[in-house]
Amino acid sequence: MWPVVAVVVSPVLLVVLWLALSYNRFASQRASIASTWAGIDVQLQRRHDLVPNLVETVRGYAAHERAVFEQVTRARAEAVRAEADPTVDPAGMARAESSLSGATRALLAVAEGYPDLQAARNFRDLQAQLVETEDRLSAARRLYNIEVQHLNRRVEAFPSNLVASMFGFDPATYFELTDLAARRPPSVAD
Amino acid sequence: MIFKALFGGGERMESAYRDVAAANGMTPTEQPLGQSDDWLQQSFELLPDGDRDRSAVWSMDTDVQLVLGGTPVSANAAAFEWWWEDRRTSQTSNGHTSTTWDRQSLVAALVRLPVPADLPGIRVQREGAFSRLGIGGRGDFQVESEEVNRRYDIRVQDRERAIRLFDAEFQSALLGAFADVTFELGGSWVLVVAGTPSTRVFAGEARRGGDPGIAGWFTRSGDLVRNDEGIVAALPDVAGHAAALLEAFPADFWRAVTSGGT
Repeated sequence: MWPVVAVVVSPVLLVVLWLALSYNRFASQRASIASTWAGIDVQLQRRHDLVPNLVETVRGYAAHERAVFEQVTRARAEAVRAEADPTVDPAGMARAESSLSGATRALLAVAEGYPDLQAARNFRDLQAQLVETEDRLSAARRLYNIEVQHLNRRVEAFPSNLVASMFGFDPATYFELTDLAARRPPSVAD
Repeated sequence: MIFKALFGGGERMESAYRDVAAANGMTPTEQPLGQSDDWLQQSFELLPDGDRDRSAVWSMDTDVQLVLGGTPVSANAAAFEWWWEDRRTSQTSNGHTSTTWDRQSLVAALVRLPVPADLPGIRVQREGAFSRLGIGGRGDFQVESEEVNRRYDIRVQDRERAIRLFDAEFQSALLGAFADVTFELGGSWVLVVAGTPSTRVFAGEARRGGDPGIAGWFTRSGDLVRNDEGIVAALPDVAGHAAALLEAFPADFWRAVTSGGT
């Protein structure tokens, strides 16, 4: 009698065990994605804080370059709004951040035409901080996207896709900067 | 020294060791960059403790000029053989237990970078058989390349700084020029291990005078040649390959570890 029960029950137990393990791994992956996203958020916030200082510093030497200042201010406001809005997904945030990167690059390009500004210590410090922030953002973005890549693969692959559909684990969205040039941090002039 | 007397082949070996060091502008030393066996073993997980004894031998130091992320840097490097003894217990036919000591060794290069380098704790080695099967291998650091994830067991202490090391180019190098490299970073130190632990790694290659190339040095795990001259002859190249590996680290990584950025 017992051997028959064991033969019937064992496969069921194995399936239940596999379901539990697979579910827990999905849950852990989702937590990792949230955690790495928080890393991106910190760096975006840091960048948003740096940009106004950079604008003011450049304005002190090149007050008539209004169009560039307005462009940067508008792009920053849009990026801050996207970051604060919980309905904006990572793709939407990436678009806003790409615009801000483009505008910041334009601002630095303008700054290159002013040797006094280039020599100003305050400007150089801000520029170095911006490079460091972009580096950190790039690292945080990669960590996040690696987690997304692994989750999405499991959501699509058999048999883990069965668990994903059963418990509502959806594919996550990558955080990709749409502006290719924005993927690279601005360089610091020596 | 006791080790050298017991296993090293005596005066002939000692003479070869000094000749090789002199020919390559290196200095024979008692310990790699003055570091004790205890310090080495406790600082690097890649250097096994063994069950009875372990030690660094045939150490030779040198100064190396590196270009790290576009910046010229002077560093100290040492190459040495690390040996250790593992206990092996077996049951004899009459029911008694017999214990034998299995001596193993590997060849390694140690590099000390100048302050203010602050390398994050990173250990990279070939993936074990269990990990490859997905058993117990999920705790390691993952990168974008699935091939790198499959081939390497990467352990890191600080993910954000570690990811900067594994950019696309370096991931590609891990599958090409530096295939199957084994190394460990921490603080201002880098340890690069050549080949897998065995008795007299690379000795045959070195004695034949061939140039196995960087990938060859790291992947070839060695003929069982018990002539110590082979090991000694390989040491300068092992130090050179460690320097080449450091120069392959991305500029972004060097910027992070020298600026104190996280």
